[in-house]
Amino acid sequence: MMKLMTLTTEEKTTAAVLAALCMFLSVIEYLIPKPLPFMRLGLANLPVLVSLAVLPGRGTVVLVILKIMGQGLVNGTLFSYIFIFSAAGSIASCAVMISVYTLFSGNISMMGISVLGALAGNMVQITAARYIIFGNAAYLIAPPFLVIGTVSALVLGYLAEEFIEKSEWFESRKRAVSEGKRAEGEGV
Amino acid sequence: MPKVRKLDYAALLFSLTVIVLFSYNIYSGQGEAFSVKVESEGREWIYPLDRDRIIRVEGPIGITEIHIENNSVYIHDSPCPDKLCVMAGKLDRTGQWAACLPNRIFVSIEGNQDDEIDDLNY
Repeated sequence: MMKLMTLTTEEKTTAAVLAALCMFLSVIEYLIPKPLPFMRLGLANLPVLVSLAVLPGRGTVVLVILKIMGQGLVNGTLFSYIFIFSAAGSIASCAVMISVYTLFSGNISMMGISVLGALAGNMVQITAARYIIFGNAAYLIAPPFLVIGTVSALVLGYLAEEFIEKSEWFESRKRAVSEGKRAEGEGV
Repeated sequence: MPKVRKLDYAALLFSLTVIVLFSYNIYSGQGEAFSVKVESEGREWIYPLDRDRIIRVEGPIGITEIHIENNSVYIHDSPCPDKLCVMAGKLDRTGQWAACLPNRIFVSIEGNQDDEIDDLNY
């Protein structure tokens, strides 16, 4: 079990940088005015998508936990009920994205993964909103919320693909992670 | 330009299907069918849907007879010339309605929404 949760140094470094990026993007997202409180772009999901291609599944889990905390801090919702929604949504979408990536990687790009992740996260958030505070009214805002979520997920997936394809930093990280794994694997 | 793979289309299609089905369920009615609302010239009555009865409502051109039967409601007879309201048939889902415009009668089914919000703050 302990072995399952251990990350190599390079993996930890990558997760940390991506987590910082999540926090930065949360700030950017916070600055963008929203017509309705739940209409988000989900910019902070970009590093999570990117992490799928470089970190093992458990690395992405660590990143998502950091992202949830970071977003809570940036938005000031860490100790409010909204935090429950975003945490539940992030965990659900992360679980779906890791599963889809592991199962279908090669046949699906970040765009498809992102769309499915957004769907899972948003459905969980709506359900949570339905049962925790808003009652049936939560369902009324659900359709536009889901549609916007899908569109922004497509855009984010596209950006993530571009990033993975073109970023030199990503290339070097990927190399470092695989070398690091080999080195520590031999060491143990 | 990143390459779109075939499962991307499947993913998008799947998402859209879920959203459409979900939205359809939401907009086709809130809660389960619960009560019958009858409106006539500014007056309004609400009857439970699960108790059979015959309602006679007087409108400008006569009496419209509404039957509640087996958790459904229908306009049995109305003094209007075209009988469109009678042809509307049985209503049994939230949001469904039938109206007799000549006699100014409107019948609709309401859900049991007990937890509507009064106010929201952000």
